[in-house]
Amino acid sequence: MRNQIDFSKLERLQPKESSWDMVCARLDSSKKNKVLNFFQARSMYALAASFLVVAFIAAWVTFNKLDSETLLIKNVASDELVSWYNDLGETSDDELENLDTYRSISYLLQETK
Amino acid sequence: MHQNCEMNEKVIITKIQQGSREALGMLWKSHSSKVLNLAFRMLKNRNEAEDTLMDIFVSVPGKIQSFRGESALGTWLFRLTVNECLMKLRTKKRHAELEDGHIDTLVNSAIGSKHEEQLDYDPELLEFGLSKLPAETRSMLWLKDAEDLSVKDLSEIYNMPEGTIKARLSRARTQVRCYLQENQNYA
Repeated sequence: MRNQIDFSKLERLQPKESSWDMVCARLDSSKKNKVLNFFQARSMYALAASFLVVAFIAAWVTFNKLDSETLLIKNVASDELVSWYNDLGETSDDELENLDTYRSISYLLQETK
Repeated sequence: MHQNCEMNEKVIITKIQQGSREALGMLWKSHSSKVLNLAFRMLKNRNEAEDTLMDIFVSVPGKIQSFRGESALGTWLFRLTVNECLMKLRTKKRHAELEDGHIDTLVNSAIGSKHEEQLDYDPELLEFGLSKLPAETRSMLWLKDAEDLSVKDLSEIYNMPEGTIKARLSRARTQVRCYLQENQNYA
């Protein structure tokens, strides 16, 4: 068209040969960054979850500790004593008298030997 | 042929949307030079133009996800380029480059509205004449007269009515011709 300005004599630039490789490298690194961001975004959740896990483990250990204390009593005490101990408060008669009687008899037997 | 090109373009768009590096490479081969030249005309700096070209192609896989194919891929790329360059110019606070108001006053004192015969201008002088225009108008004139885009395409790229585009182009041509004539007389 006559009205147009003729730019055909102006230099036409061509992209540098390395430019496409740089574009590819930037695209690759942005993919890696996306993966990193994915983990960063979820780090708070991970942190909260790890606190929960730690709290759960602490509670579990405490519970087991109490349980192991019971086991220790069981190991140390005789079956009858443990049975009496477990039945404490279950009945109106705590059989304290029976225990005393048993102990008294045991004492007397030892004394007579 | 045109239908074939359109079909190829649709395939390229779909493949890029699916993350194909090969399709992006094809787009690079067909459009990188045009994008670079447009960026160079706007920024007037080879290295900045090269950076802009890379920025645009890095952003293409993300931005093409929302591309609905209403315009040609080339037109869409030119729009990205113009916006990117304008943003860079704004960042650099080259506001003078963006102001378009002073053209009218220059045109009024110029050679008039009558179009001149196409003269054999010195390319360097033409480059200077072009650089006198504000960045946006410069890019508009480049796309119309060098890349042979239609006014309709320009209207899509710059989001302006076709009448405004025509008026701007006319003023820009007059200004460039005025500059060329004045300086050729001195040379």
